Amino acid sequence: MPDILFADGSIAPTGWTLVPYPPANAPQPKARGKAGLARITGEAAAPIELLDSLPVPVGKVIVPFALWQHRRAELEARFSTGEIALWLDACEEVETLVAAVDLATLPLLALDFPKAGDGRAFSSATLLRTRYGYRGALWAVGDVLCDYFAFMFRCGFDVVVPKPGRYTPAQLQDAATRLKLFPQPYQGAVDDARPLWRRVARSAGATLQ
Amino acid sequence: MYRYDAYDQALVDARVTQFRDQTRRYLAGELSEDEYRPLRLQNGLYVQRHAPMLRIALPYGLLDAHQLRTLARLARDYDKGYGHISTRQNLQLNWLKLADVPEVLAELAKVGMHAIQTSGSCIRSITADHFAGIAPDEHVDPRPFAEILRQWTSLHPEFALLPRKFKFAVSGATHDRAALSVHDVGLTFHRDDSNEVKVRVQVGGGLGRNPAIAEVLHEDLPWQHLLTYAEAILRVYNRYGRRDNMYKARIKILTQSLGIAQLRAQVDAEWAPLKDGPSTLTDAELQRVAAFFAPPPYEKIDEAAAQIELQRHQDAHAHTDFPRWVARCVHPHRQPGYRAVTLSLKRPDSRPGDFTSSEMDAIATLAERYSFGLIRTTHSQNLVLGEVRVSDLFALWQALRALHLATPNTGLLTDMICCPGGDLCGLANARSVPIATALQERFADLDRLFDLGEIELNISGCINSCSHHHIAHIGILGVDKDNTECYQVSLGGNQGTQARLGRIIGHSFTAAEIPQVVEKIIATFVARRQPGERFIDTYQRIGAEPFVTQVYGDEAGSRARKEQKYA
Ligand code: SF4
Repeated sequence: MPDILFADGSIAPTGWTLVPYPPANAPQPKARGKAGLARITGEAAAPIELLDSLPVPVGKVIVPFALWQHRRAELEARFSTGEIALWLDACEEVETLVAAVDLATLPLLALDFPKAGDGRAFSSATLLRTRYGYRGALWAVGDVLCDYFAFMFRCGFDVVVPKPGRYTPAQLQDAATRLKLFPQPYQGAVDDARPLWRRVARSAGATLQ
Repeated sequence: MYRYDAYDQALVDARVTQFRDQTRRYLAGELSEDEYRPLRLQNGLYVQRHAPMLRIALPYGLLDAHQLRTLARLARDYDKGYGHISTRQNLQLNWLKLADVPEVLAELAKVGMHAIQTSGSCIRSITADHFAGIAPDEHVDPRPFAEILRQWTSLHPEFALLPRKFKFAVSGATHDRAALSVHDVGLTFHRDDSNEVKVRVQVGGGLGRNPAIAEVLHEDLPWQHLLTYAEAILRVYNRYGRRDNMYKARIKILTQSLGIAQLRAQVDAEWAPLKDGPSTLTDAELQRVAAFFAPPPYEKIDEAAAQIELQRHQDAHAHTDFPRWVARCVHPHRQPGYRAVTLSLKRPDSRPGDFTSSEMDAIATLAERYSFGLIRTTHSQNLVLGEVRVSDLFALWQALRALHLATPNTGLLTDMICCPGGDLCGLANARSVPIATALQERFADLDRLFDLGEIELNISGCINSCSHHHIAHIGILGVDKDNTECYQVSLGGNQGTQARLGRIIGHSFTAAEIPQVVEKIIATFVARRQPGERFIDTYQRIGAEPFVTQVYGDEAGSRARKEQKYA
């Protein structure tokens, strides 16, 4: 995996290997029509054969949550030594993860942005941080573009991982310098739950604090 | 109106820096077309048929004279010297150069303006009742809430990449002048028995391919919870709105597939942990923002005396259009001795909603002289001077008449809502402006226009329905039939508290046929109306049938057969 960027703007090599679904077998969006309890986004889960056959390399790996659930017995020993981390697809609900795993035992959790315009992981991250008390490492992976880094950090990600080769080291460095472009956003988010008017005294003549 | 403090200013300035850099990286090939598109869209920049179009936010349709002069100058220096008011109360410039856009945004930022989130799959700029704060039927001024929402929605990190666009509209009046029920969320502020401000939250309205009237999600939400409740709605939508089909991605589809009760249950579940959190509004914050919308320093005027004087003016100028202008373009005001005045942008020889830089300058001057320097835009693509003394009406009319801004047609047939259509818009199936022009010419006679009374006729160039043709009494929609421009006609749509979708009356027509079709519809109305009835009243009483028969007549059968042959 390439370099990763931390919320404070520092850049480091990653020590983890991400296990993605092979592109041809990636869950395909599919319309499902009217369905119960809001699971109408229409995406199919990864097929069982795929979960069975996907190789899990040695070392520190980030595997699909669905794969880990399916092959838990096989991976349990490695999980307990902290070398198995999980990533969650955008169509998977954080509630399912929370029900299946003790979040405190995760060395790292990654949320996938399957394509650039898909903002579901913003809400997943927000819920993990604010509702389910997840304090561990939270990585943004997938189609992760530098113009959204600041939003990702506001939503509780502490690391962003652009696709290999997407940015040169210089471009990533550049992106880091832009992180503080909006130091006083209007609304509360995970990084600071207070809206601007609770953070500072506002008036027509206010000066920046 | 709202004035930026240092925080607002720093934010729009930073936004300009950011967009300048994004455009530079795009032009240098660092950002792909696909990556740049959502970024430019969220800064109001479309790539149109001929040139980029910039949609500048006029939050809840409010601006001041200084801002209007700036728009005049930018339109003159960077565009072709005119602008267009959209149905979302914003201003569009149609002929910019991409490389100039960062500079234009920088100029806008200097006068407290921006183009943030005027397009793209995000929370869009907010629209409001154009008589907010001055209407006699208003219970709560919605503008402070609209400004609070503007700030909360601007650059919201969690809702930056929604399944599709998301539009709020607000009102605090008995009559809905903001088309609340065709918005993703429509908010009506009202007062309960103990005078507390409550919000009626409607959700899931929208036009386009699958038009829908919004349903009530919450009848009386206490105003303090406005933001946390909105957050809950948006989170449910962001997580579960469809992303596999852009025509099914609006919240109206989620509302329909879940049903309003299930959606409400999910929003409530999401809201429970947010309720009373840090985003809960306080009295102090509401008052701080509301102070910006305090009434201007009105003169104390005796209303009865003002009315007598106005009548005298009307009698003295009975031979002119002044009495008609008063009847159509002058609206009641809650302050004694004051009125709101519509400046019609639906004029012969001019595209609906368009006005030139020199007109902008002149209007700015009139606003300063007669209306405390404030200008409003309406979703029906007109302008309003909201604070005019009755005693100034005659002088204002004279000035407006000289500017060709006194067409007395507000609410009448020629006050058509019309999108830019095929002349400019890259998405169009057909041109809409030539239809509007043809109808303007045909119905130019004021005696006739006044006799016909209130009729809403809207023209959209494609099913995106920017002109809200579904909720017009007479809706005209451009469609593409075998590569020719055709127009589908619908009847019986209605906006306001009794919102209703129109019904398509039959097969479509060519542009040349449309004026005759409208004539036949009007003739049916004239033949069948009862004294005092408006077009929509007659339609609702007698139904579509008589209109359809009149329009298609004997030809109906033979044309239907012909259609079948080609199908
Ligand atoms: S209705 Fe269609 S043609 Fe008209 S402005 Fe909207 S997208 Fe363009």
